[in-house]
Amino acid sequence: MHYGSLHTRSHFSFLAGASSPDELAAQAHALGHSFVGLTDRMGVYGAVRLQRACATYGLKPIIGAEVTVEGAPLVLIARSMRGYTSLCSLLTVAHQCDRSDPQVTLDDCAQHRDDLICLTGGREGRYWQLMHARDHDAAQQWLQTLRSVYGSDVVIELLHHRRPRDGAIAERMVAMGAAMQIDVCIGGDVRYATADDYMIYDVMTCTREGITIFDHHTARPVNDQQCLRSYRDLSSLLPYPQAFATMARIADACSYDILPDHITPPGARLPEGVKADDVLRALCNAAFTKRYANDTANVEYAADLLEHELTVICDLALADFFLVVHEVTQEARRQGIRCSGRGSAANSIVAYLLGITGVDPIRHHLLFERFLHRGRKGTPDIDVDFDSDRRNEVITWMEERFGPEQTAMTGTLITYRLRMAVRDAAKALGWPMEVVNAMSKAVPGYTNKPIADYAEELATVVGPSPLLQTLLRVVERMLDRPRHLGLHSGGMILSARPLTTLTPVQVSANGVTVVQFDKDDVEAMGLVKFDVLGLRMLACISETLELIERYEGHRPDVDELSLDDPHVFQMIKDGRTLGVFQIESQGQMHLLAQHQPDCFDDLVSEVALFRPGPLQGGMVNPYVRRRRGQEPVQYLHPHLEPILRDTLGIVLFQEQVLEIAHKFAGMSLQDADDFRALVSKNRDLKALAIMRKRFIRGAMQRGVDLAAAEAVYDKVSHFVGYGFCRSHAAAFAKIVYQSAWLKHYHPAAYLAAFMQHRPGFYNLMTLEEEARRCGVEVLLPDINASWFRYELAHSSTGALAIRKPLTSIKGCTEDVARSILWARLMGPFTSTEDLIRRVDLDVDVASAIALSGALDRLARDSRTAMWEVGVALKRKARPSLDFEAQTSVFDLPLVMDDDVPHLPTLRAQERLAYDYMTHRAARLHPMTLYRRALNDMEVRTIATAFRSTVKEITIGGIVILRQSPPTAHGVLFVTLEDETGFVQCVVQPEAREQFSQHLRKASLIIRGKVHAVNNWRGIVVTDVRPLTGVIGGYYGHPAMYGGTDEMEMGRGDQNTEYMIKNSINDQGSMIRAGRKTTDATRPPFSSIDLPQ
Amino acid sequence: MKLFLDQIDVQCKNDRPTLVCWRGGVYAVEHILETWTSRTAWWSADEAREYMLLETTNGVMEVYRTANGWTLSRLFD
Repeated sequence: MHYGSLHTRSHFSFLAGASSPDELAAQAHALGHSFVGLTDRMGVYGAVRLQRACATYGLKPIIGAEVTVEGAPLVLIARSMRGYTSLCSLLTVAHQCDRSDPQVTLDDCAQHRDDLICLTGGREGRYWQLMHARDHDAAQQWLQTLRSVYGSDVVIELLHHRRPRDGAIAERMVAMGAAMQIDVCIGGDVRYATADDYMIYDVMTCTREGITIFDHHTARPVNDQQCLRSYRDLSSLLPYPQAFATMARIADACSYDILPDHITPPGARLPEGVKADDVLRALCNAAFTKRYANDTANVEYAADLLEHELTVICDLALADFFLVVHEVTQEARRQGIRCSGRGSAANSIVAYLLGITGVDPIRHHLLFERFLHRGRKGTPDIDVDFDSDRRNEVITWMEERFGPEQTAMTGTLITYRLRMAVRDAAKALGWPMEVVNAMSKAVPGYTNKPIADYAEELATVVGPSPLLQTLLRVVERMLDRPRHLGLHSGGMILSARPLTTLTPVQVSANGVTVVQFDKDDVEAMGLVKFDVLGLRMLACISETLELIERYEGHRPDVDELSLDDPHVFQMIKDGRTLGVFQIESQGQMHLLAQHQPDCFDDLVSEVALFRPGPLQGGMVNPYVRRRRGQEPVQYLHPHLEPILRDTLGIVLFQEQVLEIAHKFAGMSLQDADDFRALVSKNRDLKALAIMRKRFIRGAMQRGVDLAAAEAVYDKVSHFVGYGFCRSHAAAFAKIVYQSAWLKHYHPAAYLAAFMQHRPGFYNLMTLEEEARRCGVEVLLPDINASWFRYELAHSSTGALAIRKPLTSIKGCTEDVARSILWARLMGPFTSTEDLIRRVDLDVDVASAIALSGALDRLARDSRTAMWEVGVALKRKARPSLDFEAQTSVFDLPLVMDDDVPHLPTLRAQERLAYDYMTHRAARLHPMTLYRRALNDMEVRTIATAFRSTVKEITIGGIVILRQSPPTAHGVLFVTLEDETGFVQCVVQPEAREQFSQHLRKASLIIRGKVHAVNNWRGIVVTDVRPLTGVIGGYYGHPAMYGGTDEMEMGRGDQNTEYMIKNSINDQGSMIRAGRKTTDATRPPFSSIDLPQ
Repeated sequence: MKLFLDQIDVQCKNDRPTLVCWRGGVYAVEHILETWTSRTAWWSADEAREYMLLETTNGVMEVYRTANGWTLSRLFD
């Protein structure tokens, strides 16, 4: 006879259940259960994992859910796939009705009731609550109501958690069931696998309810008895054999498998009677002629490859999928939305011929099997980058084209990482918020180390608290458990049949529909995912092309560039790559100086080299030396030569790992792919050890001696961490080239678009400095000339310049900018007063506009504009105060000549500070103002370091980047910028420790030895001094502040602070980057004494 | 019903209470009406309580057992 728990929550109830499906299955197996019924709250999130776990332990999986019906949960269990579909449909209705409080009505239940068994629910269920309250009449009425919906499939659920009156309530339920001829069964209402998991459940409950473990709350458990139980234990508490028999009968009746052995591809739109395979073949053949007919060297090989791919694709029933992706990319292009396929799909000649990817797999020796082969488990991914600005248009089109029922985004499980676990656990354990904040800052966001290793750090925050050990215990158990469901970055599922037959579909916070499974589960269910990704660089390129077309009168075809322009490669070799896709970081610039790429293949290698896999595998320097002819090309074994020839004997790409496993070690393609994935993750040491033996044995069977086999394995196994596949690197390298080409030939348009989309990680000040280095003037925001976005304009010399937009002004949101532009359509603003009259501006925004210099052409200068804004806004708000006799505000001007005294012009430091505060970059580099003083101190410009004779130097500048990547083993990289350029300073661990206090400062003086590689310079730091008194403290380094361009006023610069305060006190509104400053010494705006 | 938190002695046979000794009196346990458990302060090692509602010769007594022994919780008249 079946025995188990029909009503069980897992941690996929998100803070309302404490164990994983695997833990539940393991415990059920240990207790002698024959099935596990998973019934998470409002979802089937754990269904795939349950089915797999049950397969492992030889248990029967049963899938259901706790569904909130008119305010209280019922337990609905699927009896068959039809029942599962009913459940998914009902849950979809609930989630789409109200995402914050999903629930359904009884009418909804009646519409989606096929093959569902309805249990009356556990302790929170309405029936149990009524029985607990001894409201038997209402309980009977509720049973009748349920029977009207579910008929004989209503079953009364019995439970016993060793709480007061549990036994008596169960007894009354049994009696009522007998009286009403309704079956009773043992449910369980289980929340965790074992009693030990109770503490996690309690902490999760506290987190969910926002309380602490010291608070009384009805949702908190009172004991540890809501766990799985043995038959002997439960039958002693609930001595009702008929209830156990009903449970067994239900378990017996449930039978289905949600993990099919086939995929559910999307349905391509085809004419009646036409096969997808034929259409795909025809499209490829048409494109083949265009692409390869004249390529006599490759045409035959390309034809064979195409035939091979088409056969595999059609055999795997993926023709529809390819046609759908083709249709989406075609439509995007038709709408002018830039897109580019990436990832392993670029290994496919079919994807290339369909225009999904732009990289020729024959030209770049790409391996189709990395993408797809007959033995592949699961479905292949096709990743396509779209212009990030317009990605939503693509998604909307896809939903309309394929129907909202057949499209949804893949979910992502947001699981507990160390910092989040410490934070939630500390809050639940009752520490005050400031302590919780300090504790979460004391640990890294993510760790592989045991949590006990952080006891000391946490103890320094909380002292010798007895709860600290409890916290560590709880955190350890919380790690990796799901906290909530998020949205995958781009995984769009397309299905030929309604998704609700396979998964509930819910709505994310931003209104996107999302399934209840993550990408692995989606793949296991046979659903096909198409990654619709947003890439800001594509938006940047699109906008650049538009600007070129508008201001230069032509539109270059960047997709058909020859990829060999020596001027572009010279720019790259010189390291003038700030703003160029993928190669703008300081590390990449250093590598460029060594590598000196001079052809497209070099760019492919460059992109692939600077990844954790090659970096940690020690492959970068050997590759560069071989590429530059400084060391001979060698192979560990002659068998490797065909695989590694074009990368000079170095393993650079994922495909090469796969090929070595396949061809050198004789693994099947699937096993080789598994080997590649295992090596790159480098986590499962046991599996790696097994794989090592297999690899070596396979190689030896192919005639390789043991020493060589081991050496090759060791080399390949160093390819740990993330590495690119060649196709992905090639796809990205093309964008690298396009962006470099645009920067070289159209710097104004490119940098304007770059500032608009900000695809890189440098702050705005550095970008503006880069524009000036490229000979492009950056014009200030201007109320009559600026637009919504970064635009081009002709400077006084007639050259193209970048005009900063209204939206670059602090507080000038898109709505505000829109209202200004709408007003400006009626004619330019003629004065500050005109602006204030015609546009309804908030005082802070109006002040920021004045201080930014956007009104300088209307007023005498920014200070005067600020004064006029103050006067005009006050008079506009309260006209009667000063003009009681007037009947209309339009009778007199808001600002009269007498209102505005002759104010001193802003000094350079003030101007600089206001620029930073209001539009996040100064028209002049701050260091310029201090150059004379710095020269006196023998602090040189950064440009000096680039002179070949300089071996040691002292420089000063603003910190624009501060990085310490895990691959650098404790070295800190600080990038300093002054008015002549920027340079990377390398701080070794000892120096880092010695100067740790100073290194946090926003501006520094650094002394060090110059390290030169071609045009690149680095400073190996020997001494660090704070450079205070420059501009207060500008910090634009995103490594610490998330990429914002901000300035902190007054830190270490009392003089500037004083000046700014006094200047602003004249009119009383001080705007500070990020927030408005509270300044007790200045009068509130409304109390300014206006001149009469 | 009266509330107490008195330490008491309870004699058991096969883990079932048979006699309750409280304030000099000894009362025979006639029936165990109900049992339940409580463990709200799980971070405290000795906190788990096993409650019993006993029908005794002195009325209905609610008692509980912890690692530290037995306590009379409530007495129902």
